[in-house]
Amino acid sequence: MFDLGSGGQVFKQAGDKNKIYDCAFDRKPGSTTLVTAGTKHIKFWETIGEQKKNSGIHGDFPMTSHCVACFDDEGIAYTGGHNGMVYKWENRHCASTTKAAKSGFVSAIRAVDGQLFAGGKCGTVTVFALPDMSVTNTVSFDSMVRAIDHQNGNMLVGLRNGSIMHVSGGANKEIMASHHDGEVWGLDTLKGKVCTSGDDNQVIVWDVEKRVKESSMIVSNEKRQSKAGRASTLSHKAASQCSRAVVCRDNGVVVVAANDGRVHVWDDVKASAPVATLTESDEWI
Amino acid sequence: MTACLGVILDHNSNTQKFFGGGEVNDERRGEQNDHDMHNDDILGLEISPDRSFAVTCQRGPKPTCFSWDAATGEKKMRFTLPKGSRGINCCSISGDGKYMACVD
Repeated sequence: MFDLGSGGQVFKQAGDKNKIYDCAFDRKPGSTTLVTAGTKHIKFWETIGEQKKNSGIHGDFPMTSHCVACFDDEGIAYTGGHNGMVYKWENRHCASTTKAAKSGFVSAIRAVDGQLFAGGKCGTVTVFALPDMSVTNTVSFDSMVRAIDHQNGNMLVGLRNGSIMHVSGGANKEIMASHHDGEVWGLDTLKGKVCTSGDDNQVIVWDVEKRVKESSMIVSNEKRQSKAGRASTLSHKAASQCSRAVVCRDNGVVVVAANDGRVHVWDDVKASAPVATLTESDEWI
Repeated sequence: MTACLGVILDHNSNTQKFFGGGEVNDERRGEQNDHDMHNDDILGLEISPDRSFAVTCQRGPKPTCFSWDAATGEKKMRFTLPKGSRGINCCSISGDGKYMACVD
């Protein structure tokens, strides 16, 4: 823990033998209580003065790994569990649990403006009214939720697919888009636009003048590894879904070379499927 | 945040400002030192309660955190963990904006 004014370290202590995934300060001004959440544990820290740590007590509620944590304005902590539940903590004792994610774990949590926002791997953000934890709204997205913020009725949601969504008045608007897994390898121009392809199984056409994503398409739905091996990459996608080069023609034809050696030909970037796939290559591209 | 870069997006004008980025100072290795900016992937970001500044943390064996102005991207303070630490994957700012906690 550091002093933001002087830059000096004011507190340091070993946490837990298990991995810690998230930490959060109590939001009450003057409070320096900290919560850390991780694999099969949650700990509450008094960082200034007494400097002590205490484990959270689950009581009758099921033990799980806690992926994310936050405090509300009243000093109550909330954690998102690997089991899809939100845990409510009062004085390090678990007071209640509420289902937040339809499936998978709770991947983002934020308590602000008298509401609790919990996002899940399933791509759903559930909005709870505090303190009774009644569900007031749910918003679904097409990718895992990684971060949430809220102010004056506007909600920002960061997704695993590299996009940031602005939710206001029930409408979702994508305000930022990007490639998100591995590297970007392909670059060409298409009718005055810029076309990129990467290891995230996407080909994206960008309108550079407007600075927006115009369209995107999937390289391949098939998860296939090349027998000849593959290039080094940080991507989690299969070789058939990692694009290594893209070439565009003025007539709208887009050709994408995948890492498994296959070449896909589209007659239009908005087409649902390629018109041809070349499979002759035995080498990875 | 993206890779080593903090991004400030004005979504009305659809323009961006950055914390970090620029030319490398070691051309042979293609590396940048971490005195004024991140030089490895940013893993965590937290904005202050008054939304005036942000704190970001990065991966690496000698990870750093930076606080920077949320409007201009100007660096405010640098925090370092000793060599041998693991990457910092999360950080948090206290309610009064005086302290920053991070976990490696």
